Amino acid sequence: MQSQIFMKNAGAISWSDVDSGEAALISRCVAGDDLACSELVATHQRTVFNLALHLLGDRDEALDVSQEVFLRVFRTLSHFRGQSALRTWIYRIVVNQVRNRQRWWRRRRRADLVSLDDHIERCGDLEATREVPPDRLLASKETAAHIWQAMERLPFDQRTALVLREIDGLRYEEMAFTLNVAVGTVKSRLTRARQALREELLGIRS
Amino acid sequence: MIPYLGCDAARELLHEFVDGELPTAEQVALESHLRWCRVCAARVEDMQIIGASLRVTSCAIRAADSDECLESLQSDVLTRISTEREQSFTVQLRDMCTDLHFFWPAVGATIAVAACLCAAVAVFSVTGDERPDSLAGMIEMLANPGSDENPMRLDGGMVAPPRALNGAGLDSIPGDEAVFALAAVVTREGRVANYEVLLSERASVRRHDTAVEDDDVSSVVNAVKQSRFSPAQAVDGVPVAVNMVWLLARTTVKAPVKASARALVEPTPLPARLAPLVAPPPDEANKPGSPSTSAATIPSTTA
Ligand SMILES: [Zn+2]
Repeated sequence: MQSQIFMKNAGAISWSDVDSGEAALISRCVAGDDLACSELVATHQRTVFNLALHLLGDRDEALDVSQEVFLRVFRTLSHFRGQSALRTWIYRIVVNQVRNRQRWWRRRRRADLVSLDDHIERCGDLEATREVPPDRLLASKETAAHIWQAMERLPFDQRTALVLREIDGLRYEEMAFTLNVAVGTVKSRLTRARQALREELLGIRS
Repeated sequence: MIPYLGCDAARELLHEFVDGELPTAEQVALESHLRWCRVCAARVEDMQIIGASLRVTSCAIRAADSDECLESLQSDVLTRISTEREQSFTVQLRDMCTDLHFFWPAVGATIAVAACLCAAVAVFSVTGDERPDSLAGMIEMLANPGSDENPMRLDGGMVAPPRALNGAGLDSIPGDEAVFALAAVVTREGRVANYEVLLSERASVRRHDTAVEDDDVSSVVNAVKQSRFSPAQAVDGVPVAVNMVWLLARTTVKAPVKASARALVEPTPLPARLAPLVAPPPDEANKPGSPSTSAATIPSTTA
């Protein structure tokens, strides 16, 4: 019932990217249903927090930004027109919030990066099996840590593109919407980011 | 048949290949290239190592203690949302005040508006004080006959100012007979204004001492000046200012010789009492600028 009302309010706008369950959830959130809001946060909080954490490199800052992101989501949810999946729309808000914060917040070197190696060893089996056998890729855990540090030194736009692609697995179209740029721009940012990291990798090997 | 792909063309497609964004035909062609080109294959492998390294490190970072962080996130967000819904107006106002970009211009605009209002009020108050010799003042005066500035002619329909002028002023003048003609305006408030001595004459005393004569005139004028009248009233009962001409005279009538013994007791003539009468204005009183007159004659009285 609520879904029908919501679809009717949305008029002629295409909701092809939003499935009916998500549309119903959105409509309940807009109506002020606390349970629905709670469900929406629970569904997306991990994604939001991790992206903010990867881009900011600081846990407290990432948590702070995540709160702001969800407040922004609920403030503007009534304007969401299904032009993308809700997840992509939220990504866009995260990137904008982080970018705003980057302007005045000086990035701090993360202390826990030094102790990262232990975690890499533990997670290596879980994640790195996606495309290539891990034994060849993870020549050393130090290599992964170095690449990550090199990624953190990249310009914000390149870093964001790389994180969205490699960690969050967004497609070019989704990245273009999230970053509010053309697909061609997405490709060139990815290319430049990878070239910089590959030089880092070649430097480690030699 | 797989199309041949050169190294330069292949290099353009490597990133999209790694990201799985290539159309099928190009993907097949590139895979064919990678089978024999070690350079391009090495590039692809490096890109995959970079991606895998980032994913592994990301996993390590988020595995550290993100669950503890996320426990508070959900409840914090919901608390803030409900608070915001309850106080949405207050929040908006606070945001507006916090943002000094809006606050100070608003204060400045308010002060500017207040200053403009003050200036406007000042201009109106200055122009509101009408000068009597200005064109607007003259129009105002002409539009209001009966005002102190534009006294009316006393006609038959009006109630004349009642008599209140006594002859006391004449008492101090030596001699038996004296005649004064005075033109004046009786204002709406009943005061005498714009008086003018038209004639002063004393028949019985032939003094040519002008200083003494001036004293006589001023004593009469003072008596007139200090008099108070009920103001003249128009037909509708509204007090109006009118032009007046008074003729003040003192005469002495000698009693006949066969008069009673009483005349011997009081031979001195009594001071005249004023008896103003409304009468057609005498010709000599019709001066330009004071067209309306009323004459006051003094009947002589003796015992
Ligand atoms: Zn090649």
